[in-house]
Amino acid sequence: MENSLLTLLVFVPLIGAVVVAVMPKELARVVGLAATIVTFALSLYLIPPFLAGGEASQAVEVFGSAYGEKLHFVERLTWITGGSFTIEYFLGVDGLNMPLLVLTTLVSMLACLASWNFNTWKVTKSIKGYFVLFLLLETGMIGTFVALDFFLFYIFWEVMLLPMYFLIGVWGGARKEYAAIKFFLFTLAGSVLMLVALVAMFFYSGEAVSGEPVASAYRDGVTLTHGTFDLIELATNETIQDYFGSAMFLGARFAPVMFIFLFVGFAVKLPVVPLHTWLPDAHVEAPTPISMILAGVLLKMGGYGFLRMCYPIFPTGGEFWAFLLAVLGVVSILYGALCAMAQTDFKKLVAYSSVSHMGYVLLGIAVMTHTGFQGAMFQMIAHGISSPMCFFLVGVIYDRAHHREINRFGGLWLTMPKYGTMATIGFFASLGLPGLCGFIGEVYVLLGTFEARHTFAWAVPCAILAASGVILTAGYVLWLIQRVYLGPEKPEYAGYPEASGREMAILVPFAAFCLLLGILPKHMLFDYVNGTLEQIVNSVLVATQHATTFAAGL
Amino acid sequence: MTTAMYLTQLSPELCLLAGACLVWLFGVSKHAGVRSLMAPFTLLILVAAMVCTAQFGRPGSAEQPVGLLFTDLAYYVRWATLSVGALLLLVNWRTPADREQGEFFGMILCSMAGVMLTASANDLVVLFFALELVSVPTYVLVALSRTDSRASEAAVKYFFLGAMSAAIMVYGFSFLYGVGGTTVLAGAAGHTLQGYFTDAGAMSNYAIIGLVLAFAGLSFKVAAVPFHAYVSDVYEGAASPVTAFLGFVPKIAGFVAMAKLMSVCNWHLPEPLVWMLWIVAAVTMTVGNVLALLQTNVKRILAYSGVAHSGYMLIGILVGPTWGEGPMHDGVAAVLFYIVVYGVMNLGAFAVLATLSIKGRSVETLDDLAGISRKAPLAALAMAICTFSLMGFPPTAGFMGKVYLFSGALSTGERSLVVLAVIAVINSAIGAAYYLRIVAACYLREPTADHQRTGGIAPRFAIAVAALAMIALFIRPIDLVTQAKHATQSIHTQSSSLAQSPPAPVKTLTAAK
Amino acid sequence: MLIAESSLAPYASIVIVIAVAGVIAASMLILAHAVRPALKGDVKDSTYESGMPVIGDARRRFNVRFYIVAMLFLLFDVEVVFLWPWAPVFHKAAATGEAITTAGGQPASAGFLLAAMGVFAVFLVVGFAYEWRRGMFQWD
Repeated sequence: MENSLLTLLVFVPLIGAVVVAVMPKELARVVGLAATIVTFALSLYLIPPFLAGGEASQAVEVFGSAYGEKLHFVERLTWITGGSFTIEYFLGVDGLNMPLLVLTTLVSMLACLASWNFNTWKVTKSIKGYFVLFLLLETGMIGTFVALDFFLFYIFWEVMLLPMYFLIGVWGGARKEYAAIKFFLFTLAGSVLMLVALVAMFFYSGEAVSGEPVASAYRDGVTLTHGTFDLIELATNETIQDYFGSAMFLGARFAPVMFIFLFVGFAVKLPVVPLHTWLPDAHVEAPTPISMILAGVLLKMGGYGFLRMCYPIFPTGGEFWAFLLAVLGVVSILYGALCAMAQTDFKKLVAYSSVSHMGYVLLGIAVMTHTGFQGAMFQMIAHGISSPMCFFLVGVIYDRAHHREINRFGGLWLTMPKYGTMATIGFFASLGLPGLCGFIGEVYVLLGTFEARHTFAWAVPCAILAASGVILTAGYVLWLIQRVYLGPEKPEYAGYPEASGREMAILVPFAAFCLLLGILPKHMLFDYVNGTLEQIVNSVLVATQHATTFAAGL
Repeated sequence: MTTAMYLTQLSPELCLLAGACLVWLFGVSKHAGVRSLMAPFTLLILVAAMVCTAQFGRPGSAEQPVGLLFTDLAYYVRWATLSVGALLLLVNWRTPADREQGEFFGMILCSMAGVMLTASANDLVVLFFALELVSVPTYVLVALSRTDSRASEAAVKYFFLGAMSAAIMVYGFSFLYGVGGTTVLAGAAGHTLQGYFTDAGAMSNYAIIGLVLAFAGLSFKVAAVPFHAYVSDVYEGAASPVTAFLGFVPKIAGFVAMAKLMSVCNWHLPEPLVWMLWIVAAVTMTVGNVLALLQTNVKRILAYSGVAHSGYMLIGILVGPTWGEGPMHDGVAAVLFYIVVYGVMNLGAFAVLATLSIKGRSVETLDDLAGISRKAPLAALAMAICTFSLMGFPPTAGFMGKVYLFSGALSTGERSLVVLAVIAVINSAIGAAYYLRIVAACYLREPTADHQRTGGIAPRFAIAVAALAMIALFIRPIDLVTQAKHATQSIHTQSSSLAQSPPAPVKTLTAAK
Repeated sequence: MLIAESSLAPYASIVIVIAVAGVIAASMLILAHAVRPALKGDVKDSTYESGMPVIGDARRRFNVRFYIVAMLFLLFDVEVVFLWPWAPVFHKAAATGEAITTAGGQPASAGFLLAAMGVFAVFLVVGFAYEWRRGMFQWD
């Protein structure tokens, strides 16, 4: 089990999908839920190896001295090979993807439970198709997080789009076709440049190892040495790293160009303003469980990509683009918050708040400090808990009212007290109230940004602007709560039933995680991730300092 | 060379041509029962040709007949033509009218024989003859495919433009003969064009004119800009099964002929010619994608998408083969792989159109396709797989094909080719927009019309094979790629037997930078 | 002379033929114009001076059968042209009993040549049978 846990994790949902496909449709949701529960239970086995670490410094030792030396549950097989071209089935878990995996399985499980009332949806066609695609989506998401071969990662990354496209497009709202195509095209357009980067990295790594420039080898008819798609190798092999730092691509420096190629792909997913416009459309049209997954898991893939690929492999690229990234992060925070404030559609408001929250992730990463990275990571997990919860809260009320106009609601707390309590926890977590999960991530990001003031002159203004985003967030969340939950009870909502047992079963775990992450951030997250993050930051700092002195020497 | 050896080496082609004669004769039989047997009989002939290929088609050291050169390239193309051709036959199982069975299937066999001869042609005259043998039957097929005036119009357009392109091409060939003093392309002995280009050093202006004209004629076959104008009308006018045929057979012949011409000049083209091909490739993929975006008829969308795919494949022709083990560095192997994948996925998509009809008229527009996932779930699934494969999206073979093509260009490190690869990936993202509209029509829309199934079991079987092949070639592409690689190495051996230095493609471009 | 020395010498006769043809044609037209009496009038300008009435435009449609006949003529008559170069070669090979060398540098025996023409003839017969069966030789 230890040896094939990740394969199991990837393929249990797939097996579930096959079972759903062959079983009668009455059993579809039972099998679907069972598969997601089994996957969640399996993902809990990922945690024990990470429990040994105590303090952050100890954690580093536990993880070994360098990035990638301490991977757990590694599986390595050759998939496609031929000459110098080898694609591996290479899976592994470290502090970076472990929490995201558990988050994925958790959110999937709860989203599956949220799909339980499928028969009451407006669009009820083909329940089997829905659960098959749902489980395929889970396979794609888990695969994306565990793949350590770039080619394999790319395939999971792309394949994941298909079920999502159909889930939005078939079971979505009025403008589902537009939203689904837009979602697909944005992500695909972002990832085609990633494909160029993927192939270019393969050849340049081969070039680095053989010491033979690709072009001349081509002209002289020489066989090239193996390049590699291994993400860990690309990040840690010094020869490759040195070569990536100095090589040229189309007349520009290789590292910054590749960094931006990868960045665009991940930025669409994160999403970063101005590449975010697919997100409100997709969220508004998607059914509630799919919105939960979209917000809870898919957006995290952008941040994961930055931390797994952009920074470890092209640290000098990160330094080169730091200002641009930080500015985009701040713009996302402020623009997302302002847009959220202007919305009258409940779901769209939550969608724009996601843009704003993911802006913190980008800012925290862009400043390249340890605190910033920690903050970004925490923000991803925290948002992965709070935003699916918010979307589900919207879904609960939509199921009853069949509209999402904020201004038509009012006094719901009085009608549905238990639901109102949960809603308050969820939205306050999203707001960043101290003691709830949203707070830690934002504070760490802001601290990290201030910390970078010696490296980057623009760090302090960015931090100040980002901090003002917190106030805007408070503004729209409080205003929202006031309009929807407070005030006198409205007669048209008077008879609404209280949140059912199933709904509470979804909301309570989310609320519990909001509290736990807010109160015990160290035990809930930092202990597991700090080791890996520290390795990444250290390698980035070493590389960029090296690069600076190199430039000074010239 | 004895007559017997000659005949055995040519047996797959002879098998097809003799079969075509028989099909023509039996096709005009008085008995409806005999006429209705023409399709299975044609399949039998294809199987017989496959057996001949397996038995005698392997390139050996045997003496080669005049005008032909049986290499691994010919072996690969024979198998590709016969196997994809068998699928195309299944798709066309019920296309022709009862009294035109013989003509229709005979033409299909002739066209395939032409493709196979193109791959083994070693003489300009044979090459021209083979290419015409590919094209002329396709004009007839378009006219026979259905009875309405659109098909006749399409056939006439196709015929006149095709005749013009053939004239251009043969004019180019005459220049090559003029400068080289021979029509023999390559070979170890005697005076050959390849030998001429190897010895001549710099290429004369007449040779450049000849190559430009020859490539112009071949551009028509592969539907590259500026010779792409006919595709939309012809593809729309012909019945869908015949359109599937047009998407594969002339294209593979065109690309194989291009590879042959390139190998004749040792992949060392003069700079203006390289830039011409570069521009043609870039413009072809862009124009194809942009025009496809504007269409609402699925056949026209797929027609223009075919133009774009030709643009992608031209990259591989420009990159050329290289010496190395990996498939990643070989442009021509990538083209050979991609053309087969393209043929199959294109066939799958058109076959789905062919097997569904609304009120007796076959499905053609996006609106016609609306909601077929409800009516024909498996056909819709196959359509989705083929469409995603055309898009170049994993987990399908189209993705692997694109990776091979683009990585071939990136592996050279030549700036111009890298830029071309970047243009191509951006184009494939643009292309996704119209492919998604097809999938969206199948799955996301509500059915607006009452669909009937037509065409019987054979096309459905072909659709299933095509869809499964797209998945299988994604999971395990390496066997086919290795065969493609062998095929290009045979071009090399052919080159290197004369050329002392290894081919140095597009070297001039670097010098220009 | 210059022409005699240059490589164009073999073409001189063609040039002379063209020139003579041109001179003859031109002189006939000029002579006719100079000698004939110049008469004008309705009868003189009509298509057929003999008085036969014109029944329609020259560009009228013909029965499609004419085209089919023309194509059949091309197929069967022009194909005979291919027999001509084959005949002397075959005669040479058959008379001497030795294999002759083809343009590609390979030997071809009389049997091979006969077989090759046999294949050609088979194609002709197939075409003939097909056309017969399709009713191409029937006028209606």
